Amino acid sequence: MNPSLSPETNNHRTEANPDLPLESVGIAPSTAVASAKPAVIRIALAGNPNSGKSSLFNKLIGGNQHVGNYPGVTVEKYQGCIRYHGSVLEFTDLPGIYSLTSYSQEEIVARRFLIHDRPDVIVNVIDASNLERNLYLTVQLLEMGLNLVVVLNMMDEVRKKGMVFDTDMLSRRLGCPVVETVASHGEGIHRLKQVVVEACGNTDLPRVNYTGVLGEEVARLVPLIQGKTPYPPGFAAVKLLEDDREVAEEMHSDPLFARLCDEVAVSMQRIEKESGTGSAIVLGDKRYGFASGLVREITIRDKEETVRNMTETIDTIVTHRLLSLPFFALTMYLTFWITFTLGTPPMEWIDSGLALVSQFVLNALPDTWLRSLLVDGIIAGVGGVIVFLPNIVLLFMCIAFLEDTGYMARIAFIMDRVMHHMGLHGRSFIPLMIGFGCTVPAIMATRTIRDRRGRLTTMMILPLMSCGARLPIYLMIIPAFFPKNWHAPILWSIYLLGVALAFFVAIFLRKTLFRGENEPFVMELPPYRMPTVNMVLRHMWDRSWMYLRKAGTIILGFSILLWFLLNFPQKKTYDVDTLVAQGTHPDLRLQARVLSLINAGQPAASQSAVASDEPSRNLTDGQIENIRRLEQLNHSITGRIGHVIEPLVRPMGFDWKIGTAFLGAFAAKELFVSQMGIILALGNNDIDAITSADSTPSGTLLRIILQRNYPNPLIGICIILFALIATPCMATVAITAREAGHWIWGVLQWSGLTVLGWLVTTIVYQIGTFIQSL
Amino acid sequence: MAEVNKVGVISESLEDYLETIYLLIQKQRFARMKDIADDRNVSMASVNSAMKRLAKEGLVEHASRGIVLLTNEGENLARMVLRRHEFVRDFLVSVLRVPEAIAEKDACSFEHFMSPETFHRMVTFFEFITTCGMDIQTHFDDYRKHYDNLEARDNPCNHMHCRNRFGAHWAHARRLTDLKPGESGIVGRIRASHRIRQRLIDMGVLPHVEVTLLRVAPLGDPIEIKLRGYNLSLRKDEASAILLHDDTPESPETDTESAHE
Repeated sequence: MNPSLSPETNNHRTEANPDLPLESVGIAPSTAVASAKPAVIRIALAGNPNSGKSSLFNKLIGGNQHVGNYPGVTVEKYQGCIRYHGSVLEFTDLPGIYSLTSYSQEEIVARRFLIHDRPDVIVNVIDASNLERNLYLTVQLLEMGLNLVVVLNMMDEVRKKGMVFDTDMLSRRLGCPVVETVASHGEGIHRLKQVVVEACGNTDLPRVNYTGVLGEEVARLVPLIQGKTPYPPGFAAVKLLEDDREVAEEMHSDPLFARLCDEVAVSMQRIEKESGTGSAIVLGDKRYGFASGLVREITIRDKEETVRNMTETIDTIVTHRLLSLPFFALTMYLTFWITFTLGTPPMEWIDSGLALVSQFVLNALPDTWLRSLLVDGIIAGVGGVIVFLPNIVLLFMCIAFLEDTGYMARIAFIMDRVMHHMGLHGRSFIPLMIGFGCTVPAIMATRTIRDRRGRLTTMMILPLMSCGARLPIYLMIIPAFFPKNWHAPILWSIYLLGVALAFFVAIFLRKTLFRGENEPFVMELPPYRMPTVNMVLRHMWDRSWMYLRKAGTIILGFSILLWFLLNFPQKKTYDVDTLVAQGTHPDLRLQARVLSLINAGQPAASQSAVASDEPSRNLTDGQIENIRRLEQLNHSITGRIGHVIEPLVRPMGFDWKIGTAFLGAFAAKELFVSQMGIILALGNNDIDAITSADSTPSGTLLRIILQRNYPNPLIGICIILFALIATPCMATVAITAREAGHWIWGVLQWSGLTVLGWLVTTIVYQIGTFIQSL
Repeated sequence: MAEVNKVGVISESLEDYLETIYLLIQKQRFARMKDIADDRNVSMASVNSAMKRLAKEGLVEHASRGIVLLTNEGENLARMVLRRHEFVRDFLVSVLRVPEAIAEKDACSFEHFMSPETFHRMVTFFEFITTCGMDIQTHFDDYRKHYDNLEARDNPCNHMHCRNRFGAHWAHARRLTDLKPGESGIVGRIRASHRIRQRLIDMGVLPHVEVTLLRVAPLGDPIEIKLRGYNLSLRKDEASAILLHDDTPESPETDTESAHE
């Protein structure tokens, strides 16, 4: 007997109607094989989340899958074809659903697909160890009048518990074929294919008839609905009684809609009067009543109570009041460590590989704009794309593991309290955590958040989690402006500030842009299961490929655009060459001269100060080269934009140099440091030293120069603030646009954060200068 | 408060509809049928028929695309109902020291059933005690202190829309959140918004089903329950919408050995 049903429940039901609450008529279709099979059989896989549907799908198609999106929404659509005995089987893996309401995007997508795409056979995957709840969806699929094949998956778990089911009985009662499988081991896959082919073309479909007052009311409504909706009238009638807005809206234009509404209201009242509860509850009760009756009927041997429940045992530890948080912290730490620490060596290999390629091109081609495009535009751009790959592969390995074991649901359970304050779901925690490493994989990790508004909110605030690429900026700026014992507190507060801002922005977004009722947090905590290597690998591969294909192209495009903006229009003759040719200033004073030329009118006092410190040092070729780069930058579109937007960055205390460096940092945040180096016309070695953030004497040179250029430490704070909040890098914007499904979200994220950054920095600078002036 | 004597022109549920429309118009400058249904947590069909009746009374007008407008008369009536509601609530809170949430709920039902006479007397009484001499005021202060010490049962009624009006039998029913880890109960009623209720139904949380509270999350919010042989987690917000049968014995024969340390 099913243990969760009390005797009272059963009495209640039998009281209402002596028969089984549901009657299905129809013959198991395996006997009625149509003679001519179509060349292509279209099959949809439907079932609850955690029913092993995706792993069954993978076993069925053996790797030839194709991932797309359902039209108009960001729900992923997995498809794959195989050949089987002369016909082509085309499988579509529908999103995992519990029901067919219009309250979740997944359910609407599945419903529409089943109605509008009319698959030939629907394979309903059921977790056999949780029959009753899984059969609830089966009843609804039967309501839709579909050609169903029921798969009892995870039969190994059932057998392990010592349970035995009468599959033939189930097949007779449901009126459709039933196949037992263990998808993780591939058991029953062949038989399933065979049954699916046999079931195709079957016209003798099982039907669901409700008994009692519900049945009467459905029968009364059906003639009114007939022909007005693409859904089967019986199904539509049931949905109207559940007050399904989507089904109602589809019939809105019908002239008799008002009358239908009245009739539905009458039916609802009648049902309520007869049964004492609302029609939605009555329907739920009937479906679950049928499911639990069926489970009782087909259970030959029930589970042995002696079998220790492993899930319970694990849960007592990992959701324990005291132990859960340390365990969770450890898991997070491991995830972070695997993603970023293990990910570093491959990233270095990629870097050195690309350096080799660039070197090769540099040697092979003459110094033209084409070479520059290849090296600084395309190769650097490709590098910018694939450098994230190790992180993404490793992160999704971890996520797939956490998801497939079932621990991810526990993380949501543990962290939901915290995230709920921000109007978010517990599942948002992991992406936000990953955001401290790198925003790009973090945004991809938001896929685990099912609620769309919650997911978008998480994406929008993610760049506020201070990522690893911003660290070099902090490491350059903080020592340049602040005494040593301030370093750590400032670094800490900048991270905390990011989190605090994220908190407020999230609340703000949930109150404005993503307003609306929260997705109810009604989440299954599935039993723990050992993930198969195959599924984890598949998950990693899917994500990485999708990243390369979808975001990669945008990032590459952006890189080339940025290259263009930095290199055009080209400067033909450099002032520095003229001056060197004149032979007037073969030393560092020259640098000052050039800089004062560029600054056009601004006194070059600070630069000459540097120069006069080391008057004897002659300019190296590298330094001259860098002065050329500076002149080019100043001459380029970026430099011009930098000058044009100077009035905009003024209120934050920035001059055109800092502004231009931030423009360059759009490509990647850490580029701010090298851009700053170019703008302050340092030598190559100096820049290298600074980028690697060491503290050798030449590494501190940029800091000294920074200090001399900007004697006010307030500027330092403002640079850090702006680097933290404003202008997420182009890879972030690109991946946001892709993951959110529309470029507008990328634009919104970028502009929203930039405006926020501007506001915060301006306020800080203005108040700061006011206090300093006192 | 002279316009009180119009009470009883239309039925209480229609008065509620008027209020909802009025508040929606205040909030977003228009009221669609869909919003009304969402707000009052009823079906489109009921909204449709209610609007028809209100239109017949000349209180509302239909504009295009399911937008509902209040006529002048309708607006006056709505404002009056609203004012009466607020007065009753204030009276309950400031005079009788009824907790805010309960007052809100009671005001919802009083406002429809109270006769104009009683209402008038209440107004006079309220005015009297708030404006008259010191003596009576001190007595009331003592009375207030007495009641402020009593712990009020949390009883949310979502503003005046009376989402949670239900029979006296359920007024003090235990909720799912009242269970301790390891305890079981039988679901009696679900009083949640449409969306949440449907979701709960889909997950099998239905009347007469036995649920066991397994544990509360470490930080105190979501809870984990077991029903129909599987585990489900819910926020306390949602779980408190699930009322249990009062007479349920704490069934010791439950099939779960729960973890409570």
